[in-house]
Amino acid sequence: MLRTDWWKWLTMAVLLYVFVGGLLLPVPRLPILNETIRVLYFHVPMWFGMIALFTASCIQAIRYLAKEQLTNDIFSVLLAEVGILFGILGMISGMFWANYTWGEPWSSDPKQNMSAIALLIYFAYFVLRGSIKDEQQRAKISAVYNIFAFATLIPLLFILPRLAEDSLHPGNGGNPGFNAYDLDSQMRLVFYPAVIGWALLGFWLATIKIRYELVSEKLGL
Amino acid sequence: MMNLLNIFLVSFYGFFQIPMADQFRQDGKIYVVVGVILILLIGFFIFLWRMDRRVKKLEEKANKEG
Repeated sequence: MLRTDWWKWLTMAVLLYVFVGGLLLPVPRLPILNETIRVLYFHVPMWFGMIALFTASCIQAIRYLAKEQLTNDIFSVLLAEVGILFGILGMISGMFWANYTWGEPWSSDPKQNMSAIALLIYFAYFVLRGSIKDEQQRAKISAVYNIFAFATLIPLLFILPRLAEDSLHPGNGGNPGFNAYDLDSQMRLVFYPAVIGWALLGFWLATIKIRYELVSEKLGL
Repeated sequence: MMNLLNIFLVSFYGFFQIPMADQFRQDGKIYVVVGVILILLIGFFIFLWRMDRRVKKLEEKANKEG
């Protein structure tokens, strides 16, 4: 288990660098986006963080089904909880950014719609859990559902938006990705650490919740 | 080819014409923003770290009792 501390110090150091570097280091001069291109360091890592957390949650769901240990179920649900938080924050921050760059918060862009569906599928995971009283049954059914939810996440976020006719999101629907010219080598210096830092923060938050849950169970709280 | 030309035009036109917060940065006001964000971020990190320590204490207590 991730009980050592070095990666927490790494999280804080990387995120401090991301905030300072994200505001101060040079970015490409692009029309419409202007300085708001810096939002890339904060909005996109939310989704990367969400995917990392949902991946870990799915792995824990599989491990639960293999071993039937409730610990894995606790891991799975709390990782998914923080993943949902990242997804909601990614959605809200994206709508706020889009309001000023695409002219409206919701353009029914393929990627917007598909990520909304993905979030709804994960909301249903919590509704499903809430509706089952028996611990083992809840753990087993929601673990199976978790695996299916994760299996739909990949086409929803990575395949369908790219198959779409047109998209406002870079890298989708024949739109050039940030890789083409927007995400130049200067932006990579901040963007990659941002993805790592935000994902690590998500895992840190999740481990605090998990450890609290495990210890309160042990103490009979 | 069109794509390459496009990239060239965007970057060439962009460097001279796209408005960015150049004056704001020259005035040094960007450091006010950086400063405020750093204060908040460090504050939240301290809070998070202390929460982490509190869970650790609980864990130690649980291990002793268990």
